[in-house]
Amino acid sequence: MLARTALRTASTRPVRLFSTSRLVFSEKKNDTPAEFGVSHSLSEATSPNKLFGPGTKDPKAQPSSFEIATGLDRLELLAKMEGIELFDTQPLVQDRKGTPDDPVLIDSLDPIRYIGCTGFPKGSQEVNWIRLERGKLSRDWESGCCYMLNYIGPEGNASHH
Amino acid sequence: MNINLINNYVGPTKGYHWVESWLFSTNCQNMSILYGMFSLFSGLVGLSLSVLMRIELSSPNPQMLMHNGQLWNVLMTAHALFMVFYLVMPMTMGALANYLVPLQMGSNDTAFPRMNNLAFVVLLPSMLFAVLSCLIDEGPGSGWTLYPPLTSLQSHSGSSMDMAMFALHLSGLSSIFGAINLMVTIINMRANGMDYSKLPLFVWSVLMTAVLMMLALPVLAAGLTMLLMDRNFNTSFFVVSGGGDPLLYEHIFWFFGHPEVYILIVPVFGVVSQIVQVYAKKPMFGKMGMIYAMASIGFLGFCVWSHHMFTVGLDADSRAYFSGASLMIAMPTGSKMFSWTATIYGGTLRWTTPLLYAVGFMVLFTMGGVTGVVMANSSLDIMFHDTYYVVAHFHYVLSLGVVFGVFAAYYFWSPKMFGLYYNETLAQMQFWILFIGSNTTFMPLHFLGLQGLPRRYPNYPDAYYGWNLMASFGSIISTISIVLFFYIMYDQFVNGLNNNQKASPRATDPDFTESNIIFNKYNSNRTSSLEWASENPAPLHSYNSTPIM
Repeated sequence: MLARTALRTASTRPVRLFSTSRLVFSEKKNDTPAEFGVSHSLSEATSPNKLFGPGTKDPKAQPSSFEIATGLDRLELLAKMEGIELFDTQPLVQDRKGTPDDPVLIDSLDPIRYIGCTGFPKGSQEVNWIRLERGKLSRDWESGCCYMLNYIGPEGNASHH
Repeated sequence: MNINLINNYVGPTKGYHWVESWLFSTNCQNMSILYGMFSLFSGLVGLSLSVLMRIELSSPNPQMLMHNGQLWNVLMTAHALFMVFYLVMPMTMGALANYLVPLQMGSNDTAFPRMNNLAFVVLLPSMLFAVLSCLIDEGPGSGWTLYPPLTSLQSHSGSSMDMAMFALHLSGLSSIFGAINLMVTIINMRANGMDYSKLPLFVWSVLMTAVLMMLALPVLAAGLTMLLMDRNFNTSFFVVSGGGDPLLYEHIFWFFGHPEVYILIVPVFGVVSQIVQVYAKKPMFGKMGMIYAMASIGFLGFCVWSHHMFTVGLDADSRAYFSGASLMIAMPTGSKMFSWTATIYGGTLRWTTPLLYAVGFMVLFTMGGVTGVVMANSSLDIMFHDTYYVVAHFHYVLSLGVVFGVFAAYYFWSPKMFGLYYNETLAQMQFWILFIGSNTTFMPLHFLGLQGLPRRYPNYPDAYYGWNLMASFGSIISTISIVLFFYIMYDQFVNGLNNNQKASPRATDPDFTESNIIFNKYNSNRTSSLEWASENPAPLHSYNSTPIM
């Protein structure tokens, strides 16, 4: 019975039935606007419109992340391939106890950033959350560690995003 | 970019209809509010059904149902389904988890916001089917367990039973979506440096629950599918005449059903942990132990399902194993109780409404746990099985455990969610009325059970009249407290900004060392848990830069 149904036809096609990939791999591959492009390296990613992957060559194979990643995901991937960490995902480096005269500086693209202090040495107390504000010294009320926000964002940014 | 071009994508900025901004929203905080309203409605339905049942049981003679046992069974089934699947699960894993997990981890939203919306949207037809199933044909008079042959065609030939099963299917789908979303969020979207040992206990509890849901709900789905196949496609998984076995369904159901009760209770463990440490002004005693205890409870929950089936004819060895394994659950649960007690011990307690509810939870859940230990012994359970002792047990752990935890969470976090304060005096009154009412309802059920009154009957011999009447009075007292709770919410939403009796949990208060004023001049905004750091209510996009620790 299967052979007489549309399912049979569909099963012989190189794409899944319930999938948008049918549209992607359909005969009409054409209407990508000229300003959109594929980037294989960071230098080719000149605008957000260039942050597309080449797509998979073999429709039957599972595509790799590099082939299909788009947008910021692709930008991060391209940067990683060149040894650059695009986004700040690293934990706080606290190799000393900040003092009022010499606080630990916390980089931030925004005039406000929340920091969780676990004392010095790190992890010696339960976390206390402090709201760091630009130009204002903050001090953990348990360990006494001092922190200061080091604003690295564009000037004139009124904390909007 | 041209503003008109933007509007083409995001919709008009003026005249933005509330349907689009709420029902089409994918923001976790909006979803949380939607889940909260949904749960509130379901809770009212479940409560109404329970009051009807208690009125019927207030006297040995028929009060309203006039010997209509099937209608009684339908009321009971609907009460269970609404309380378990449409009140507690959406409230804990929908409303609370969606609001708090991203905020507590320094994330702006969940990992899959559209899936979040989908999970809620699937829940609506699920409840609709559950309601409809009670209104058509003879209704699902089987209890929430849906045991065959009571749920097979011979006993329930109409479509209401199919509809109830389908409602559970959809509810399970919704829960699985939610669980995947929360699990991926917790694994991938924590603040910089927030490793697992630094996760707040509520987030841990949600992660554990999500794992339990992922493992347990598909098993229910399999059982329900087999039931539906038996009913509609002539299979005989559970039909004896066709070579099937109804006991198979019981095993399948309880392999889901026992973890399900931990799905209900574990998020509340997290809630109570958060609240106790704040109002005792001490860090949690044995935080890692609490995490391991939750994991142990979750794991053991999958190893004890047959303790619900001691009377079906299991061999002695199996009963010995399931008794022993069930008793073991008392160890991690007990360690949690001792850790909460040790946190309170020596603390500077502030007896606010959330702490009252948290301590109420500890006391009453322990009582429910003790009767659970009693019934874990198969020799005793042979006698207690299907008596009111079981009803008393699971209402102490659920109605007086989970629901108290949910109330604690509302009173603790609602000023955060809405930026509005409730009347603390009224809230404390509401606690005491509910405490008295629910204990008056459920404590007598122990005695009825010990005297041998079987559950699931609308009538009973005159000898059981006294305790039943008392339980019915308790039910009315509890209902009064719920009416008061709705007034408290009304007052909070209308007068919340200028409430003279402001709630104690001020936004910036909860930290362990507020008496340490020496550093106040450095920190205008400080807290021991990240969700309190932002404004009240929290902005839809709370963190422009990822928090770091």
